[in-house]
Amino acid sequence: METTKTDKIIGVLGIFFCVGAVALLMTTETIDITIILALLVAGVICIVAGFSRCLGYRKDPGTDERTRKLSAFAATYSWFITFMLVNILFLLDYFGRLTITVSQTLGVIFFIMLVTMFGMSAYLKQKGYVE
Amino acid sequence: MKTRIKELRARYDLTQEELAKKVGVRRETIVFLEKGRYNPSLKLAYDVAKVLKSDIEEVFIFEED
Repeated sequence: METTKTDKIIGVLGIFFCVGAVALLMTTETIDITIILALLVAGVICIVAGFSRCLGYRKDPGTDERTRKLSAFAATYSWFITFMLVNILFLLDYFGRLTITVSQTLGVIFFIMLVTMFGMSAYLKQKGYVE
Repeated sequence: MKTRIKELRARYDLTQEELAKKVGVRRETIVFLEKGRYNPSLKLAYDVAKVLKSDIEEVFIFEED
């Protein structure tokens, strides 16, 4: 299967992320290193995902109707779990059970989003179908 | 749902990989279709039936509960 326009856009976006991260690192002294690392990781992921067909790693059609359906379900479950987590964090903070900074909250949310998305995706792909 | 994909595939000497390529899906999707564990879209069912030179009703056998 040939590289699609979307793949190229994702790949180029990845390059921008990586270049942006390096530029931030060189020009700004006060910026949190976590942000730069997050940008770099996102950039590398985009480059690999975008240009994998060019490199010949994905000979099969990347997605079909079944995998798209599985991904949609995984994203839905991930969104729901993250939403519940945000509510739990809010309640814990409201009742004074947990003191958590904005950065920590964002970190936890990003982590849970990624873990649940990949976890649900892997589970559903192993199951093979959703009804 | 039962399917006759495996039988028809054998008749036309097609592998799962070849059938998947012809209808533009992953091989795993053909595996799940053959096992009757995945309900395909109308388009995919039509494409599979067309490649196997049959009607949709001949390839996919729906059983009423």
